[in-house]
Amino acid sequence: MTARLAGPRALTRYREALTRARDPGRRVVSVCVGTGCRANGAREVYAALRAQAEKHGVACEEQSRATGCLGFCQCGPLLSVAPEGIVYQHVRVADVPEIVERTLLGGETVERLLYVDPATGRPCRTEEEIPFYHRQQRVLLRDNALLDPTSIDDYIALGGYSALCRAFEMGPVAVLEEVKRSGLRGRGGAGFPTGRKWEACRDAAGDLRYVVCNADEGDPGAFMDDALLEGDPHSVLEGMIIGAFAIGAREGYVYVRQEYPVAVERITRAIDQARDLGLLGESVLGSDLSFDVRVSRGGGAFVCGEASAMMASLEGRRGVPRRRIIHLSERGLWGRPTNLNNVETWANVPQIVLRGADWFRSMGTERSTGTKIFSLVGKVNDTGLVEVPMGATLRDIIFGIGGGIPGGKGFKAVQTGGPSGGCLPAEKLDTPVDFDTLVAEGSMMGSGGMIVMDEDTCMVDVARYFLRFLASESCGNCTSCREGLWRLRDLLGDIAEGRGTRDTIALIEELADTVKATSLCALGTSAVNPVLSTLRHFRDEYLAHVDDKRCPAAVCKALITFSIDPDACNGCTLCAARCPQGAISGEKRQPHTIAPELCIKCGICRDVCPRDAVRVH
Amino acid sequence: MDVRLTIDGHEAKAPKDMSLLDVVRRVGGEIPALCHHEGIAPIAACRLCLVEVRRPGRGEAVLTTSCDYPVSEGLEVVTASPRIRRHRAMNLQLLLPYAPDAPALHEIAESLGVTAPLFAPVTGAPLPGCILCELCVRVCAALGYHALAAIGRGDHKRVGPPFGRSVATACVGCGACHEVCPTGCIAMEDTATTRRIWGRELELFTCRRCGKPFTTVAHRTVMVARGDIPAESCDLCETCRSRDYARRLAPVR
Amino acid sequence: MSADRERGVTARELRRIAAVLARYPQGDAGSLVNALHDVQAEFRYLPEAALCEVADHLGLPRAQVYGVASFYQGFHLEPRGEHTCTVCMGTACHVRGAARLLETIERDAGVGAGGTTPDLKLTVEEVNCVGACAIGPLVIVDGEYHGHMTADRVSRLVAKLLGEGASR
Repeated sequence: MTARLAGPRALTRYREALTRARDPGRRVVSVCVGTGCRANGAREVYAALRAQAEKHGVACEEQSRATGCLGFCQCGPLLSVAPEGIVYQHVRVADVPEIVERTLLGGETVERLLYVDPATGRPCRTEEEIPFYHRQQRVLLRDNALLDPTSIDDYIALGGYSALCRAFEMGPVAVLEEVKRSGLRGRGGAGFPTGRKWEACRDAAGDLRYVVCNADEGDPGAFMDDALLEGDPHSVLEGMIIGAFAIGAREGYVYVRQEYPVAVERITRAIDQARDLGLLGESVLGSDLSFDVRVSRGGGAFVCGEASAMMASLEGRRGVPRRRIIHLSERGLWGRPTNLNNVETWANVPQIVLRGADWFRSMGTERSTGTKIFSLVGKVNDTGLVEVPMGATLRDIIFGIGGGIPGGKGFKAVQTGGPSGGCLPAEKLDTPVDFDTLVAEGSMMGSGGMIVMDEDTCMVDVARYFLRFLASESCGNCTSCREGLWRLRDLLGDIAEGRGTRDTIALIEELADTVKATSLCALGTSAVNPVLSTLRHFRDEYLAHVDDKRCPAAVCKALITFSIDPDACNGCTLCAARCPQGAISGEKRQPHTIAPELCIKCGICRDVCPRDAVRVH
Repeated sequence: MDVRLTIDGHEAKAPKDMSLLDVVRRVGGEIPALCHHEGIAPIAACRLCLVEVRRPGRGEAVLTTSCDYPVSEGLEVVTASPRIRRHRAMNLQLLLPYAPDAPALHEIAESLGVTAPLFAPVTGAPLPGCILCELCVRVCAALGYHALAAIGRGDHKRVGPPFGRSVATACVGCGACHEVCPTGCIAMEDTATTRRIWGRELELFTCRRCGKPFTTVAHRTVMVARGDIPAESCDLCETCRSRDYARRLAPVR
Repeated sequence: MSADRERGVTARELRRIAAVLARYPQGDAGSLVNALHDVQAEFRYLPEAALCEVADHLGLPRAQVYGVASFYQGFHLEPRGEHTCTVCMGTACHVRGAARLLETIERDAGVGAGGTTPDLKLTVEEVNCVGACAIGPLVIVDGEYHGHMTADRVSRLVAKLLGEGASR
């Protein structure tokens, strides 16, 4: 264990010692072990890399590292090589010996592992050459590739915790003013100005104040907070310490989603490391600030993303939101002034303190400053995490960075803002993505999930999916939300299953109006956005379901049939063998047929057919 | 400190921060509510006590529940606009399927002009008749017994004994939940010697003087231990106890 | 110690619970959710006796602790199967056909989501997104992620988990 650092100068000396020991020209191979790459076998690749490097007598500790998410999940497992900046994609264990011998030792490029730009057909050697990266502006995600998230030394060597030292020089009042002036708005969804929130908490009466980091990233299809906590946990922690300094808080909590076990482990370790170095605890870096942070795991409830519900959970109660007569900044956790910000908001703070409000304002738009990370997922070619200045258009992100829709299919909609957001159609692709414009279009920024849908996505089915999610995630307090949402889900079910009429649509609209107008918290009041926004932009699709009993996207099971195209089928019998219902018959080498009365539309036949002969109408 | 406010155009005075619902009811106004009890902190669950309020200096009137809305100076309150009635009616429609026969719901339905239910009755509910107002759970906790719990969430939420049991083992049979339940769905049956409630069969305690059972043995034991009833008359029913007090008044000489 | 508390737990299990609870200050209500996670890590679910011990340690009514445990999706109040098959129901997985995968698993295992086969072999669960959206639809079997899943592949996986040939 290292001794506690006595002050900012001791930290500077510590950093200098670290950088002296590190040769900036030395080659380092980084393997992304973020969630996506991990699921794709990145840990095995990393283990193989270590073993192979060792065989060649390479100092593994210094020349290989496992990093957090590098963003380009589509092409994982990803591997990057410094200082050249070479990026390899889809790396398998079998590729490792060649990478070690040719690249790590020889400095050569293994051409076959490079990403090929589909537009030009040219292989891209570095990040700058890959369109997915070069159209981004990576401020928060930049360091993910450069550090081992389990090492505080890596963070410090890159300049980590110098923002905290700068904050101490500025003093708490100037820090808060700088954050206010930066125009930073909450990245968790509501977009409330962070500086004003801090100010209200600082000025509230009380002797004990809390700062809380909301890492209960509950929006399905969003993982930017996970990536930050896993990939660069100290940046979030440093933001919290600076916040505590500006607000005058002594205690902090990180409320992190239990479904992110690696994030829990990383932030817990980061806190321990910071405490050991005297960056947390009594007299932080020898200053008057005493501040410590505890990690609290969430129980698994989407509604706990709502601030008052999260505080109920932190206090050991059911995560039921309560009416905020007095704002949480004055009366929050345990009745004390509490400031809650989301992971990404906290991660922005050190950058603002270090580089100034003017620099921050130079990115983004007048009212939505800085960058924003989006998780670009669904029916898009290049899935992953994307960081762009606020105000980039949906088209820039989906087509410019994400490479458009796979398989030559048509774009249908993009869903932003998580379950309570809305679906925007192709006409809205040139909408700039900022807090206010998205709300004006009937959606919202949310925490930054961006789910792309193509022509094979049924909008009735999407609305039903969200209502199903929200009906089970409602805390169950308010009649309107608890009862209203499952009723809406079932009414959408009626439409999807061919029982709907135009009256069903009218009832949905009437009911949604009451749910929106009379529920207590944001979960209830915004839960109807998915159904209202799809009704607004895709009404024809609803009408096809109710009037013609037809699902144009061929998704709603009750309205579709499976059949085998006799011209394409070669009678291989695979489908007949795998059909769980025995619904497929036919002679060997002769076209097969599906008995509609037996078919349960499970789709296994389509999955296994080597000739794509199964048709769905 | 009193504040002045107007309720449907009439001026009224009320202690600051008092629940708007209580204030309106105090001056004779009518607002439907199924989850409210003056003695228990509001949870604003039923969403029927909707009103429109406008605070001085704030533009538009906003729709809000009144049970958890503290009154403040200059508040303008509307208790029955078309918008209010429409949303109240829809929320009532959402509760009706659970307690189609409950008089309390019928009364509200009538006042809102709701004649036909929108949805068919729900069958197979874990506690038939329950509309999840949580009054039973809250009153039980407020009295310190904690025999009941709010369980699950969302469309699976229910109330009842904890640990998946049909019997509330911590229940002393005080009957408060039965008393506060707005739909009368909590069964409580007394025979000559026992009380059945929440799957329990509890022995009744009979008054030493008149021989009438007045509560359960378990409940009386708790009350004695907490000093809720004086030790000298702890085995008398309320009527006999009152008589006892009267008798014990010292004679005037 | 009352009789109902001891039901279904051995003295050794009670010691395990006590060891977990020693990490948390007595009477600290704010530790409830964390303590439940740690106790669950020991037993893979939350037996009644464990909930009672947690309640007593933290000074909370037992009914409240049960109410809290039943509120959160991360807590299991019934014993779980030897294997767990979890389908990610995140939006990205949904638009790539997660619902069909879940139906297939439910059909093959004969239990609905949240349920466990009577022989305690397999528990079927849903999760609301684990952040691996890029490789969806995703099925997690005993903690191992299987990306780009198809109904056919998941059906084979389930058959394996239930014991070869048992499912069909």
